[in-house]
Amino acid sequence: MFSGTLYPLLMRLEKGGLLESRWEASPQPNRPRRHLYRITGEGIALAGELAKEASRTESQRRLVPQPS
Amino acid sequence: MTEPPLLARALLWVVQLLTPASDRVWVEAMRGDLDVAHARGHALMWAFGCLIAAVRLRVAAVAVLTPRRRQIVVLGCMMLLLTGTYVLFFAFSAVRPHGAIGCLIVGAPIVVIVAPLAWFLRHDVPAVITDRWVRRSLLVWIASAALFSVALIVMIATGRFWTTLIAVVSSASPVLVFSAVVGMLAILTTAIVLGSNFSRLPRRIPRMLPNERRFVFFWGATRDTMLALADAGAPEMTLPRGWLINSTLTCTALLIEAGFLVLQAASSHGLGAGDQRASSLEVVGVAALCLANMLYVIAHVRFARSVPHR
Repeated sequence: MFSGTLYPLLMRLEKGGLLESRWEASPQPNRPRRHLYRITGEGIALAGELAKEASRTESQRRLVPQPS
Repeated sequence: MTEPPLLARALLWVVQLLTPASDRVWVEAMRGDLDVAHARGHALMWAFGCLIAAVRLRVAAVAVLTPRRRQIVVLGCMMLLLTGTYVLFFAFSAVRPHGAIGCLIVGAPIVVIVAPLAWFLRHDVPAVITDRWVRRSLLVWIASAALFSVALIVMIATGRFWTTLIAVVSSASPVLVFSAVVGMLAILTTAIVLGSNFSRLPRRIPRMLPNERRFVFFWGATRDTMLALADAGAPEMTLPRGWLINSTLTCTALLIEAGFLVLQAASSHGLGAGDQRASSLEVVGVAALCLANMLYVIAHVRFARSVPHR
């Protein structure tokens, strides 16, 4: 994924409480710390809902006769 | 582990400068991620993406404004655009900017573009249909028109209008004359259309609601306006229509830009003038104009997005 898209997304998810992050020291000396992300319970619930909605939309789309 | 390329690190330095203070912690995260990008090309692309993200954050931070401040920012961008145009038109041509034609060319965009824009940015539809607001805004319109008319009358009385008009016509610059005539017609049309609507606005608004194109035409079709229209009961209003608003604004800005470039070309060929110094200044003028346009469009697009989805 393009980093220009990734970071704003991560920020929005974290601000929305759907993602939590923490810092970890780099295994190499004198290197920048690493930022690690983890989806929260709320995020998992929302992802499940969205996945269900997506599959429902997909099944409805299949019911519509496609032009031959 | 190797160091990221110098260019990538330089880009991240710019990212640090651009990112708002509240989100500065993310720059360190970007640095950490850049550190694990092994390939040189990949690291550069990653750093470039971070730069885009920083610009987006900066623009988003600008959008946290009250409606009044938004209006000031948008109008400020428009003024920059107009100043650039003014310099571009007159700095390198034989026509001096003290004529009524100059007044028309500068006045037309103000009246035709800025006024309706300011109108819709300032008042949402429920406020517009309140008599108090209509009266106040009507007063502003009358005052603006009166000032503009006084300026024209003074110029005609002092003889500058006719001498400038004759000078422009005789200098064989049909594009400049055409733009002045179009500007005048645009002012008259806008005044007639809006003026005739003012007195009957409260009655007309319900009939105008389904016709969103009319609002798009007046530049004020920010998402705020669209939401206000939806709240006011426009049944077929589907939101978000950001793409429609954004593409309309972008196309209009591009059209304005194209028009300016045509006029600039006419000014350098048809109206003579233009030495070496003028040519380099023209480049600066065009760059300033493009920047102003860009700021204007960004401001608009950003403001259109600043309203949450429903």
